[in-house]
Amino acid sequence: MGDETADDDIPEQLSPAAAADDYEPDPRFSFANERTFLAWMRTALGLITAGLAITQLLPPFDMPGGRRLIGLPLIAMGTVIAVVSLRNWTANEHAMRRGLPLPRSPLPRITAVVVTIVAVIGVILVLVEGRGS
Amino acid sequence: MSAHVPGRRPYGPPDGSFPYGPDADRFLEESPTPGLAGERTDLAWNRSGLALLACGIAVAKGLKFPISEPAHAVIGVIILVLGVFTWSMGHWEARKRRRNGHDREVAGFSDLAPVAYGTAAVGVAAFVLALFFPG
Repeated sequence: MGDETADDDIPEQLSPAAAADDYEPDPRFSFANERTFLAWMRTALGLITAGLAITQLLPPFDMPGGRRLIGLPLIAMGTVIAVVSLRNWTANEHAMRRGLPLPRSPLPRITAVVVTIVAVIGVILVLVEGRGS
Repeated sequence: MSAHVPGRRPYGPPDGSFPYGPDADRFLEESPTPGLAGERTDLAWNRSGLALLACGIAVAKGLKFPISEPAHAVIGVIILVLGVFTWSMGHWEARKRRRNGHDREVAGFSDLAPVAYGTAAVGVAAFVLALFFPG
């Protein structure tokens, strides 16, 4: 995002022939785009399932709301990924059909930052566990 | 340009050139079909459907959240249906591609959007659940 190539006239619905001056990209690139989308969907689902398991199945931490502190960001991240990855797929398909450079996605960086922060919070929660009693 | 699927324009711009570098024509002649890219994509659909099915079973059978007893079964079954839908979508796309001459058929926005929005809806439901009903 914020890239000149990801211009804001990305069509809402990308039909097989989106515009007259579009052309069919090599199908292998479209397949790779589709697989990337599906991989992001599985990542989203993994984050949501992990967040649910943390809040529902883990025994509570000493700190009140500790499970939700690490579970909710994971679920929120998964939800954001599900929506943004569809947008990324559309933007990539659009760029390939116009012969433009592929737009850069902020999603890998955001995911890495969120998972790292959650992991650090998780480590802190485990380390302080039992100190108060 | 070889292997043009009837009803679809050949890939590449209308003037017959290919946009991905000067060696593109040779590149195309050396690999005129998508090869195993479609099969890899079918397998990715398969994995995605199975992941949803696993999530649905976990919600239906594993979670103990204090709404009503049938509530989590209902939510689990909804996720299971989404999983079956995703898996069938992949299976259907794969069958379409296996038919002769359709090995270039790729998914469109309307194929992917239900999976994306369905997963997002599961995420919103999970967020509400985790926020207000921690186990």
